[in-house]
Amino acid sequence: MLRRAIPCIVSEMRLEYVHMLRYKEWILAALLYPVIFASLPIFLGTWIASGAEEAARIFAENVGTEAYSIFLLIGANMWFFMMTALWDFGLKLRREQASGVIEAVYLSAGNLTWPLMGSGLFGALQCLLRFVASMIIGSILYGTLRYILSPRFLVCLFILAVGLVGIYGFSFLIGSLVLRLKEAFSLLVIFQMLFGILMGVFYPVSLLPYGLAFVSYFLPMTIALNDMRAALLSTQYVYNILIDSVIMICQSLLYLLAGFVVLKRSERKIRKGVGLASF
Amino acid sequence: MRPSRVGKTLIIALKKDFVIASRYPFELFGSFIASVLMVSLIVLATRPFVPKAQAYPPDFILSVSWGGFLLLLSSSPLFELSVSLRQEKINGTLEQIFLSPSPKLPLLLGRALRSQILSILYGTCYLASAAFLLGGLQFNDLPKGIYYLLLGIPVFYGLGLVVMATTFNIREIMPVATLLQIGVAFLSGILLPFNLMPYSLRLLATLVPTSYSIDLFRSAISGTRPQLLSWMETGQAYLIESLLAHFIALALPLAGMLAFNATVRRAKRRGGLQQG
Amino acid sequence: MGLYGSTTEPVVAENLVKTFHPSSKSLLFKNKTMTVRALDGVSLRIGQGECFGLLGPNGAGKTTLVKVLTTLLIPDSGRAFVNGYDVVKEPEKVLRSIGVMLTGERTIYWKLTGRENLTFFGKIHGVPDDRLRLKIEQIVKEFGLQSFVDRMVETYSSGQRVILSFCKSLLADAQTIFLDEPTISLDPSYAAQIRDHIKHLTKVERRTIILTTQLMQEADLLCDRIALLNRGKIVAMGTPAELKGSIKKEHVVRIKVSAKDGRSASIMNFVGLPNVSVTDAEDGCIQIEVSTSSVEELLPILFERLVAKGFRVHHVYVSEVTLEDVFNKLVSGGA
Repeated sequence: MLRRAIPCIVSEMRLEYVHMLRYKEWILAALLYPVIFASLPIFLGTWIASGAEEAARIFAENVGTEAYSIFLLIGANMWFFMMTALWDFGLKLRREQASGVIEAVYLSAGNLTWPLMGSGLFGALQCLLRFVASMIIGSILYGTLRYILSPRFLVCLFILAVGLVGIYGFSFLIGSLVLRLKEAFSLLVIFQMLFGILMGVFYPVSLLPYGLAFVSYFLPMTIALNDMRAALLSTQYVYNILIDSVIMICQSLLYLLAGFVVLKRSERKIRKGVGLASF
Repeated sequence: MRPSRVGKTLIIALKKDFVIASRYPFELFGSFIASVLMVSLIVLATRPFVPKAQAYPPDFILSVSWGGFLLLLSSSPLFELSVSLRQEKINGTLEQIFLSPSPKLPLLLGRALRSQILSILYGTCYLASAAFLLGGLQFNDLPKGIYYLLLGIPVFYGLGLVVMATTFNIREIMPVATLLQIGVAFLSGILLPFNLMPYSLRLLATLVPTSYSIDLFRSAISGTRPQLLSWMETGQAYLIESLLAHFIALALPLAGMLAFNATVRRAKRRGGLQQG
Repeated sequence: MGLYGSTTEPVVAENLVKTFHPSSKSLLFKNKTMTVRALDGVSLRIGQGECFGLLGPNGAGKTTLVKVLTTLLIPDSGRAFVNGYDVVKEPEKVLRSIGVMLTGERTIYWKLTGRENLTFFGKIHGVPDDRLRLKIEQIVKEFGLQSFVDRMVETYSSGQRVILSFCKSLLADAQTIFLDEPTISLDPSYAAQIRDHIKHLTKVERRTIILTTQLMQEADLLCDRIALLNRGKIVAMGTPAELKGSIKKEHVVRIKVSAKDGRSASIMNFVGLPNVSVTDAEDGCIQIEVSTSSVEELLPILFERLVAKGFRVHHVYVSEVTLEDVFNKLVSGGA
């Protein structure tokens, strides 16, 4: 199985790399989007609090750290990665379905799992690099470079790497739904908003009503986001870094497995029905 | 080109695009859900900046409610025009449109206009959600505000046409269209009122054609003076902004149409309409 | 109507030149460009009621020529008139007077039904509503589209989409119709139906058809005249018979006869003609193959001698020059 899987995965990663080079505008856009996303709550927050100092004070009271711009930048980046993973899988599958390439891919690879895995791996690597670049740009803009230059940033990166596994596994689940429902765009917009709310992209999850907060901890990104902030800004971990890491790894593996299983079932069901390329 | 022919073609295109939209029912209803979620996210994002047990400031409520509404309304011309052109290319139907003797722009505008009509509904849903979450909807002079809003629509479409003309051959239009939408929304005072912007950004905003009608809209809704030309006296600022808003509402759509026609001609001279 | 009268010569092209400079354009980064001369001084005149074929290998310039004549492309130099209207200066008048079918199945809206597509394209062509309704009904009946015309195009097979595209070109009842590979992806019965309709349009309704096709037999069957394009130039133009007659090619005559005594050698001596090969066929017969430049002279001699010697002739096959031979010789340089 590995002998079949590895060339598929590597080829898909190479394909994604070529695609990335063909659409160079996206590289720049991907670095700027998180900074732009974070800017809105930063501006609005500063306005509500009537100034940066007061905003830092109130934020520290509510959240536990004065460094609201870094707090929001991390959230914006994670949100962007979530969105990218969702869109990459959802739209990729849909686009290949519409153009008819999906059948060719399925016939060559033997299934859709390995190509998607390759796509996911490349996406995850990209995310890691983009995170570093985007955080540097945002930190320069908001004068918070000292956080990025500290060793804690490496811990933050490690947590991100673990969290990304879960994000992509979760995206497989969503991608399978897209294959079935075919209306990718609106479904993905709703998911991206919903996850933004549940993940605590711009606020700590503790601000949510108890029921929602409980549900949000089941999402792979929530703990990762919380712990990345905890590592960099000394806010609270969910439990502690060790237990949180174990939970994250288990969640990530579970989501990855669930994603593969659901994708395989969807693939089989569609093949029994109208076929993969049914537009 | 007779206006009646343009109007008739627009109606045919609009009908076609509504029929296509009806075949994506999830998208139609999903967008209402998305608008509710959007306002929830904004409210939650700013909650950490509000001291515990305190309400949101009234000018913030005004800004977020109407800002989101404006964002939804402005997305159709800025985003949809370029994206719909790209979609027609991908579908292979762009050349078919140009093979008809009917006016071409109305055929391409159909999708954006359909999206505009729907965005008014989504915007209304957004306003209702904002009113619920923030404790009421605030406005001062609504009829005047609506007038300036209507004045702004041709400006957005004119800008959208210029963008469509400029991005005719760009393959990956989504990041460009999205960045532009966010950039214009930012600099036009849709996402943030002008009085919150750093001076340098406010100066930059005076170069964005959509800023004037948006500022006048905000001014009417909030009952405050225009913020864009803040260094001028109130009366002077009103006059200049009003003149500019009216002029741009006439000139920019015309410029957009000319730019688009020039681009099509250039495309026909070079690689053809399906290229890119 | 100017110098190029639309009633006698609906399509006139003079020295059309069109060059492309393909490159991948992105906002920030430019890639290398190449130069492709798609049309290199193409001139032609097409008469009223003619079915005119455009043949050529891939990249010859056929579709580029069609796109120039249908106003989708502006030529770098040269002039073209369709139904008397200048394609560059009067594009809308040209478009109002023609019907067009472009190649490919992606020229219709997949999220509309076939009927909705026909209605939409008919309306934007300016066909009045009541006439359009009748025309659509007529087309549906004539081409047997009832089983799928009210389903969404996304559920169609490739052939059904091509048929719909073809029907779209007929909506405006235009006197001049451009068809870019109209029978591609079609099964034999649909393809035959389309060809019959094309014949009807030209022979009975006296409409002018400009047809591009890769199928030589189709061009031979349908076209009154053919232009063979290669690398942007017309390398040959004429009726199918003229084109076939323009190349010298040896004919091959194959005759199957019953063996009298089963020995090939006696046949060879008997026939006494050069370029003869004799082989034993599986069913016990003998196959004689003779190459000749003049079938009319050879056949009577051969038959006379064979019959005189008591052989029974079972089957005669004479290979003729085809358009494919013309194509191969003029385009690929082969014999």
